[in-house]
Amino acid sequence: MNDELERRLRDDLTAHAEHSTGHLDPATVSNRWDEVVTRSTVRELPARPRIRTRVLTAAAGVAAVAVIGAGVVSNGSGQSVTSATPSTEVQQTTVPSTPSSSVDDGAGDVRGDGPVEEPGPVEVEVEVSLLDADRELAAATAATAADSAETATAVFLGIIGVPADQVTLVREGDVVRVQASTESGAWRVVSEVRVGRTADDRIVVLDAQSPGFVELDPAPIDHVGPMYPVQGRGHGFEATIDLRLHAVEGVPETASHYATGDAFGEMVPFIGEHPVAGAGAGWVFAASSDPSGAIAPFAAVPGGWDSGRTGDARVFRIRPDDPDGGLVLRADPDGGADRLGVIPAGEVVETFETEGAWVRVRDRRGVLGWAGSTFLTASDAVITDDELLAVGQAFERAFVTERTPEALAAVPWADDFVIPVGWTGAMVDFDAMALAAPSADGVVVDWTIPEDFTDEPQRLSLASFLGLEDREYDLLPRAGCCVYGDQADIVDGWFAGLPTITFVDRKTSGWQNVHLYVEPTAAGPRIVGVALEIWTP
Amino acid sequence: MAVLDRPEPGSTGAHASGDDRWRALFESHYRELVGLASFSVDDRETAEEVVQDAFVKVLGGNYRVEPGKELAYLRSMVVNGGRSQLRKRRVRRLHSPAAPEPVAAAEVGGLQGAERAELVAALRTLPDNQAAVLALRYFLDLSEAEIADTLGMAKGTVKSHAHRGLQRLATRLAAPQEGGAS
Repeated sequence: MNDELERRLRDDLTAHAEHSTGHLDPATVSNRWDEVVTRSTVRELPARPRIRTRVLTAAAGVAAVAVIGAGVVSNGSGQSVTSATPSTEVQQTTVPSTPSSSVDDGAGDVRGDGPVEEPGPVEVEVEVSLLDADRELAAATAATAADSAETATAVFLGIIGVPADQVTLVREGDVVRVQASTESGAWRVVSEVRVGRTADDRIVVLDAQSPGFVELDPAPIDHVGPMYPVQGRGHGFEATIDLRLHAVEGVPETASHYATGDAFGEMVPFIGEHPVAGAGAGWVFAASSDPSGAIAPFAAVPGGWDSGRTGDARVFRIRPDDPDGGLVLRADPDGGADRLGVIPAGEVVETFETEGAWVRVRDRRGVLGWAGSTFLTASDAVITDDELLAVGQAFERAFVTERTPEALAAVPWADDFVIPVGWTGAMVDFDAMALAAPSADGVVVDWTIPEDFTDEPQRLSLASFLGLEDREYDLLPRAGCCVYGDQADIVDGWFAGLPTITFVDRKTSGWQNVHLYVEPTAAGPRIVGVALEIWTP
Repeated sequence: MAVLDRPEPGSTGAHASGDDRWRALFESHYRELVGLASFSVDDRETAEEVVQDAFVKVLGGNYRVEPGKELAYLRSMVVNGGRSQLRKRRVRRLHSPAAPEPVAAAEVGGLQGAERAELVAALRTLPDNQAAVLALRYFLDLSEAEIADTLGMAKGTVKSHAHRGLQRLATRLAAPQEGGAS
């Protein structure tokens, strides 16, 4: 039997390969080499780039998330997906000049109503912070300054890796829009970066959008159960994948309307029905000014790409009467309802409807539940556009840019505040428990704790969450290789920088990556979220 | 000043002059590597893309390759790249209920072609290492030591993967096809 099978393997594999390569004559191979050389000279980023852009944060003591809406298109299956396809017609390929545009140095938005300057070359300074290539490129990107077209295009190419001839520059008032639309097989990626001039005559990236993959194939990647298609990888031409996103703690199903899984700097894509009326698909700017370093992308402000934010978020702080205490979050407005968790005193929550003495809140993890309203501070903080912009821009200068002493002095907590790429606020799908269960073949999961992961309670929490507390496990600090039983797999670099665990089900050959979102804290890294990436044969 | 840059028009890039060894490998093994990738992906273009990606990476200088191990390294990258593509394809299909099963253009050659397609399809259902070991062994005719070197595993593991892979493949090929019309 084996002899016959081996013979068949030799013959059939060879025949298959012959057919697949029959078109590759020497001249074609030589052409392919030229293409490879050309591609290799375009700076291929070792990790998904992190673009520091305008960050909207709340005024001190509060936190907010602004939803920057993008176009919504149908993916052909009744699902709405995010598209950044701009409505503006692309016409220009160069940027001859830029009228005066000013960015209030720390307090204002970009404006296009200033006096018109003489035409001339526009200096562009684009700052790109790279997750894993900081050492290599930080200096270069920080110092990047050249004419607008070349630099913006070069940066853009670096960001999304599209061919130069598919990048277009469009000037719209005070904003240069760098735009790419690239088709690759069944996908078309549409991305854009907007740059504008600051008051001190610098050109900065205002927004970067790459909600990316408009599907050309009539058979789309579909919404499946609680899984949502993730749009906007913004790097290369990878197809959309589906993620189930999880937080360490429980979140009721309503919160699963959030669908992220990818982040672009501080922006995380938002798809789905948001509890805040008026918010739709778009990008979420997540930030916090909480001096404790807490990340609080929970409040949301409906808005749109063009119109800007149009509403206000109401956020409250848990009364810090008892530093060791907290506010119990319950599933229903009833003291006997299930406990969903405890929000620490001093933390900020977003509020929704009330029912008697109960108020529906969402904590910084995104957990929605009911809490006693009397435990919230009376002074509700309403975040205004101006506040957001002012703090956001100060924040950007302090943290997003070069961390100059002046900037750090302006926002002293900036150093304590990091939004991990991929941070989602909170997503929970309790299927994680099932996924972590051993298959009938008996998946052997071998875990160890990395040296730099010191938060034992968090480790235990994660293990418990995954139902693996009885197992030894390995949290690799980077996307890498994990071996289980006789399986080995190399995780792609999509989530480079995130600790990743891979499970391979030996029975089905399906596998799951568990991406851990870890936030650095003074006490060490802390797991703040878990995403499961599921591939099923 | 260093900036994120793109190649100058007409430039052959920073690597073109210094890496004749990679070019030689490319020219002599490109077809073989594309063939290797073809066991994991549906179409020629993607197979070529997998191979080209591997070369782009090594030319990019981010990988340190031990002299003499270049080909093994490339094969390993192609195997991994191909399997990665395979996973993506699985997800696309899983989430595309109406998507027709792609029929590889390679497999329109009647009964023999159908049998080849069946074997390749069965190979793709194997666990990664088993499929890789079988491909390297029966397509490239590598020895156990060479496979172990390519995949970074012990010879005993190679043997084990080959044995299990053959067993599983035999089972898959012997199983009746689900959903058959006849």
